Amino acid sequence: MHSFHENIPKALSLLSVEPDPKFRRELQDRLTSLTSARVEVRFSATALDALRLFQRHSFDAILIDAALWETPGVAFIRQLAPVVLLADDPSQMAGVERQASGGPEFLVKSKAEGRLLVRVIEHAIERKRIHDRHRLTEERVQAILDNTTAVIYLKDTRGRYQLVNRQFEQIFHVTREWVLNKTDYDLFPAEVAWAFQANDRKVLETRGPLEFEEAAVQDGQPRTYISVKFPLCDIAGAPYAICGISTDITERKLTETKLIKANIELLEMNRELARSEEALKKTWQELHASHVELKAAQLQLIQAEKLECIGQLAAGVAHEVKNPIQTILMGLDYLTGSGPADETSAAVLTDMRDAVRRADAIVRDLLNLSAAQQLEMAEESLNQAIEQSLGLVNYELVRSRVRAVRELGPDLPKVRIDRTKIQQAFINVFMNAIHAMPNGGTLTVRTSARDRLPAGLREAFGSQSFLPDEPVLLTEIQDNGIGIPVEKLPKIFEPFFTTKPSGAGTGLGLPVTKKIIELHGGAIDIRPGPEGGVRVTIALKAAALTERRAEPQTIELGKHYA
Amino acid sequence: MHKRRILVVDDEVSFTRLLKLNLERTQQYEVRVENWAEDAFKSVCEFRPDLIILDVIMPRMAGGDVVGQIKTHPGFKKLPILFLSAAISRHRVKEHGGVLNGFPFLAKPASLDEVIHGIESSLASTHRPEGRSMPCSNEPVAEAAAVSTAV
Repeated sequence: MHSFHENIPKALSLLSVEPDPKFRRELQDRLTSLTSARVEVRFSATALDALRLFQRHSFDAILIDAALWETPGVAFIRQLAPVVLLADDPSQMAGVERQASGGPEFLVKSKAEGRLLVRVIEHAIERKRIHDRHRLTEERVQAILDNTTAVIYLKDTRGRYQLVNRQFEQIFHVTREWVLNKTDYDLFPAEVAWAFQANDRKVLETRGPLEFEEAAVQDGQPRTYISVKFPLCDIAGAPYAICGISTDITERKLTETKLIKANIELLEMNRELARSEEALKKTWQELHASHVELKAAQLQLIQAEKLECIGQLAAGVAHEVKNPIQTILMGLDYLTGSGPADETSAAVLTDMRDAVRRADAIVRDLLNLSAAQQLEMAEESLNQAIEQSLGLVNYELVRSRVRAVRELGPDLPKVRIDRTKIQQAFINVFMNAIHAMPNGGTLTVRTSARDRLPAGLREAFGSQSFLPDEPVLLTEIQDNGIGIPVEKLPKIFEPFFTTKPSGAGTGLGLPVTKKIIELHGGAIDIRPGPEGGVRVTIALKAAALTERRAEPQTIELGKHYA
Repeated sequence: MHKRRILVVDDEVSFTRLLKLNLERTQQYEVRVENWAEDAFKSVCEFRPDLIILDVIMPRMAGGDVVGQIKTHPGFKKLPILFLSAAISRHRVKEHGGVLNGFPFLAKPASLDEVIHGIESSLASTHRPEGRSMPCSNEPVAEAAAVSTAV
């Protein structure tokens, strides 16, 4: 106890509110006789006096007689300073409300002497100090609690509210006084209260903070809260309360839901867009493809029509043209045989003979265009047909110093062809190649059997010519001559189109060739060769697949053109 | 050596005239021209040719029918006939080895050399026709039947 007194550096300044003059004197004596502490006391007999003194001086503590405890002036000052209540006997103290902290110390007057009194006073001071500090903390905490937008509350382990903040009061229209010791069942519909308490129980079981999404009803409207709840534990670690901090996320959640929904819609729209874009692209491609196909078909149709027309015309007039040609030829023969002509006349005759030959060739080619019904099909060897065709142009090959290279595939299946016609087609192609190499070159002829048409050719031929998995025999004829300009490729099958010098070709060779190949159910492709020149590819169906029976054909000399 | 008698049956007047000129200039042939197919048989009977050069497409009567008329007459069964026609292409003729339906054939236009070659080949592969004095009739089938019965 000694050390305790030494901690009080200055004299204790006391105010005594004591109506009894006898006890005032006694108290004065008791305090001033103290050797252990220095004490200064001011006395007031009434509450009014006390108030006056209190305003003028500062006191470490106030000693109040129980009789004056409830008087207004005393009731005021006892809030502001440490207080010791002095009573004549303990029964007087019963009426005084004891508070958890900051309340008065009690002392029976008969025992209020010496060291005990000082100790009680000092205790009161200490308690007041603690109480004030505690209240300050509480006020600060309350201020923080009250000024947050979250709903904060404290419940004991039996679910009774011990503390709520202003937000709680405002939202649920209650006062903190009313809500004290109430449970959730007093505030909310039973199912909501049950859910809250269920969460509380989880927190108590877990003994750690948990987060919940809780639904409450506010002003008849459902609200969603995100609640962080955690237990408050005593020193032994036993939970004695649950604190909850709930944040209204109704708007956020609504927005979130809307956002999610909007996002989903957006995604869906995006997908839709992608889909329609894809569809559009596909439609466009299909459109484009059919357009290209249509154009090709149209071109083919025009060409075919042209050829057909020319063929029919040719058939009609060939005879009528050939006869005059025959007459001219006879005339030429006559003139040639009429004795020695001068040099110029001889040249004229030669020119005329050439002209007759050319006219004859044109008529011949024109007639070939109309030869649709005249195929004489038989199973033949493709390689043989090519050899024979090469044999027939041998003179031209030698004259133009063109080397013929044969790369003929072994063991090729047979083809059903009109050999003469196919040979004519080959010869036309060979002659074109030879004409493209006036200064010599190499003519390569390659044959091969394929399980199906190579992709590049399928494109060139279109879908009509061959089935997807139809075996074909390919003949590639490659020259290394002057080549053909790409822009002229689309026209090469047109009748009377020729790149040769005027008079050198009839302009019917390729149309006739194409016609012949197509009559055989085959196809022909002409394109620049990979190493210059021109590459012609002819595809024919293998024999097993062309079951068309050859019509035995006789030439009727009598009724032929009847 | 006497000249071979060639009957040319063709409706092309200018051609037949030139062919005749050309052939006769060789001093090898005596040529008679018949521009009317329906008169061909009569000409055969009168001219008694060693060989007939016959067109196919002619107005009123085709070459094949002319052959039918001539060949049914027993006296002319082996008379060589060389077709010379624009009806069939040179290429096709060549393809058939120059023979169509059993007859040598030349496609128009044919040069003089080709014609002469055709004539000579046909004559070489044929016996000289017998029965030069066989009477002719405009109804060869009936006549032929009558003759065979008489013999």
